[in-house]
Amino acid sequence: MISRPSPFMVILTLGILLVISALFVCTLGATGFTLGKTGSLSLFVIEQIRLPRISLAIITGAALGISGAVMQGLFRNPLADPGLIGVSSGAALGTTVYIVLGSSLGLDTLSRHYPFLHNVMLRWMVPLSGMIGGFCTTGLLYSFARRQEGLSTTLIILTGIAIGSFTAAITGILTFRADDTALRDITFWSLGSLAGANWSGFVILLPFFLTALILIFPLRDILNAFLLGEKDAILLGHPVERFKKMAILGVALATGPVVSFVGVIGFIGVVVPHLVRLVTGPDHRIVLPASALTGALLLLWADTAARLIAPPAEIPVGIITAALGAPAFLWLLTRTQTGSALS
Amino acid sequence: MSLIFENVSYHIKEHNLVGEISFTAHAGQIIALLGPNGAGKSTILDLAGGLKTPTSGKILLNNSDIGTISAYKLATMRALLAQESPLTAPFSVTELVSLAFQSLDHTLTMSQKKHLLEEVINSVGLAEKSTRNMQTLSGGERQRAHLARILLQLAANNRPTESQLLLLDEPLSAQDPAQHLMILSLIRHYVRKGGMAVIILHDLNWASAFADHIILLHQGHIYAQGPPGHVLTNATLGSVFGLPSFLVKQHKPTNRPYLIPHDMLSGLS
Amino acid sequence: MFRGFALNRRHFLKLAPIPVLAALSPLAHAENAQIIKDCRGRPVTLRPWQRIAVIGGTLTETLYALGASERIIGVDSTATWPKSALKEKPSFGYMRALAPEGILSLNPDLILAIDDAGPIATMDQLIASRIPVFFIEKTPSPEAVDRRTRLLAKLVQKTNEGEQLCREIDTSWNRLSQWRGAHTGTKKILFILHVANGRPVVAGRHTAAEQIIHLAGGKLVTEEIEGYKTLNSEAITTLQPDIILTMTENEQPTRQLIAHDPAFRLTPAGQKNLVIAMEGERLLGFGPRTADAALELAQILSRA
Repeated sequence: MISRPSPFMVILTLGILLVISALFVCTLGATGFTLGKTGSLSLFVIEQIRLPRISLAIITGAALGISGAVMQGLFRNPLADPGLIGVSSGAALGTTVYIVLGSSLGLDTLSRHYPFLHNVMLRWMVPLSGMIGGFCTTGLLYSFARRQEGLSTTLIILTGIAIGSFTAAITGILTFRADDTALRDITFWSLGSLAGANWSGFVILLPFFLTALILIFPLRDILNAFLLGEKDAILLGHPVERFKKMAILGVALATGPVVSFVGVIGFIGVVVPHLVRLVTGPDHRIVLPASALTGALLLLWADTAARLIAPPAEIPVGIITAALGAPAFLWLLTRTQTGSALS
Repeated sequence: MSLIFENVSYHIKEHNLVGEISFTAHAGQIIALLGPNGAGKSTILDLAGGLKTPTSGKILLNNSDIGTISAYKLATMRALLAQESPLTAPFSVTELVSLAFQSLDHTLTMSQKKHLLEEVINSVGLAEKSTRNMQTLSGGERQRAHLARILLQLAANNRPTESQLLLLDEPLSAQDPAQHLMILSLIRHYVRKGGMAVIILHDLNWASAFADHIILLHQGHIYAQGPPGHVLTNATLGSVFGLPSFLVKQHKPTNRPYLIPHDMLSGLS
Repeated sequence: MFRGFALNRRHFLKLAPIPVLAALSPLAHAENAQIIKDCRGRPVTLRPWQRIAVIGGTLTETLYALGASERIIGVDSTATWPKSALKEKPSFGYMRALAPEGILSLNPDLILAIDDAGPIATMDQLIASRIPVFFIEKTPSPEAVDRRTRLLAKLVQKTNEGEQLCREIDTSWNRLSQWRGAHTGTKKILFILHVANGRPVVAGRHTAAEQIIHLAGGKLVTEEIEGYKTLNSEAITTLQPDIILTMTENEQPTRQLIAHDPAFRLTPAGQKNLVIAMEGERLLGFGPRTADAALELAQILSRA
């Protein structure tokens, strides 16, 4: 017997939880919360530090959660995560290229002539180069995996492995060339952190996130059909090739920019869809929105933990998600007798 | 509905999977594809379903070239039951069957949908298991759930049964004898309403009992086709399946042939 | 409480946003406010700050040396000297991976940051919080040590202590030049910052290590390298360093590396096992003790 909670109730509950969490978490922080005697500093902390950070955590978590659900549906593989299409490794390469080679690109000379441009570059070149790296890598992977008869998911995985190790090799060569400060910067980027959150970053990320959602949500029916296999999805009249393109584009748009901004945040993309399906069943009409909401909820709390564990210092949130995500994943595995029940 | 193969061949590189296939099938018919393993039965079914494009020749569905029909329109015209499904998601039977609704535009109300869903699950004998997880069902039950799903795919859209085509790849493979009869009756019922079915079968007796037209395949080519009495003879079966292992007899009331294994005869004599 | 808030708010709006304008206003002149500029040219109104958040180990060390430690309310993880600093002051993490709220939570009235503190987003937000943020140059040179010391002394109203400290530092520089005048001969030095994955990370040009080695009369063998980078074995044999210099913090792994890596045995330093370890902040910080460290290094080099 299978009994499922009503999709409406699931979304409603998650939505309410997210709103309550966001409001509650807003009162938590190293500064404490002093609404009664709000000075301009507490106001500043809430308006300019916590709120943008919470907003960033929500769209980052949502992007990773929903991308994970799309990837696992596209590859019909419970282990699939957004990293499979090369966005993350590409973003890592992009940021590394900039961090290591940025200074030798003549930016210092530039700064003397165009201080404004220099200021902009200083702030946005890391995420920008990450995005470029991510999108280029995914594009490369796509062109390799495309055949006359269409896009093969197996080829995507194999190409992804090859491109992944290739980008890792280049990143490795670069880190070998990198000086100590750059190495430390790269290390901190690879651990993932939302500490640099601000409204301008959020405003830049939001259009990517919304575009990705607009691309991804219409895929829910075809993702369900895809669970029957590619052949059955075609037989049901779905535009399967277009679907694969849209799925990859959507995931790249959702994850590439956030990864470039906040660094590598592991396990949300893999664990969240599993957690969701455990409750909702495999229907993507609910798995997609529920994964977005659950991802947002989890990252919000993980980041709160990152902020609160060792004040006034912080722990990179990537460490927290990995430290919580890995045991959660193991627990999920022990709960299911067969691997197939996971998917 | 009419399905016409005109000199259809299909190769993968130098391998000729099927060659020079020609036949015509009409609404109200059950067409059985028979032949040994590797004779090209599944390839013909995939070609008829539009999953494969012929290397040469033409396939006409309702008199239009199947290659010119959009994937979406094709989905309202034909449904295909594959031999096996790679599904691992823990859908319930009802959830699996209702995936057919999601794929196609329809104007059905909630209660119409519910009614159709119950009817089609009932028709494959899974009414009592409709809320069960697919993974906890037997292979035969899963196969019938998928059968219900593709029946719903055709029933859920507005296209009349007369212009629809059911393609079944060994629908009896995982079923017990009682289910053989149930499923074939179900298909016959569908065809009597005006539909058409092309079925791959291995059991020659069931094929003889239910098929209106049998296509006997051998090494990618049609060896013989026609009504059961014309195709199922000692001579054709002997050359297609190798050793003469059956004795073909005539069932007087229906004039259809039936087969008795040779061993049984030798044991009797 | 309400009054306090209102006052605070008004104060804030008038004075804090653009200190330049504040300085030009008659009010500011009436208060006799003094404007100073940080290394980025950003003006800050001088005040008797009591709660200073310090980012950059050298700055913390200097403030301690000036006797202004009680004004420090928090430090970053590079504040390795004096050892008590990280014990008695809360730490807000590594100076290039700071989060704004941790620093603001300590309620500082001044944020004192070495120029390469980061990330930029965090520094932007600290500046936006309107708590004065004062950047201080990180140049590794004797003149910069003097400038930094005087500037910090001025910021904490310890001008006399600053003068005193600068005199002491000058004495050490003078003794260093005397020593170097009396002792000739240049040693070839390899500076190992730390050992990462079994490979030495060494100092190249444009580093504090290069500066200190030059000051002490040594020659850095890795001058073709820019910054601190990983070195491969083959390069070590061609560099032929006479002496290997490292920091006390990383002395053990460095000695182990030299003992086990055959490439080092082909160098004069490896053969004689000549490894000098000096405390990192003192040697590379270009703070109050660096002149002394340079002198000590010069003496060790000429004896070696």
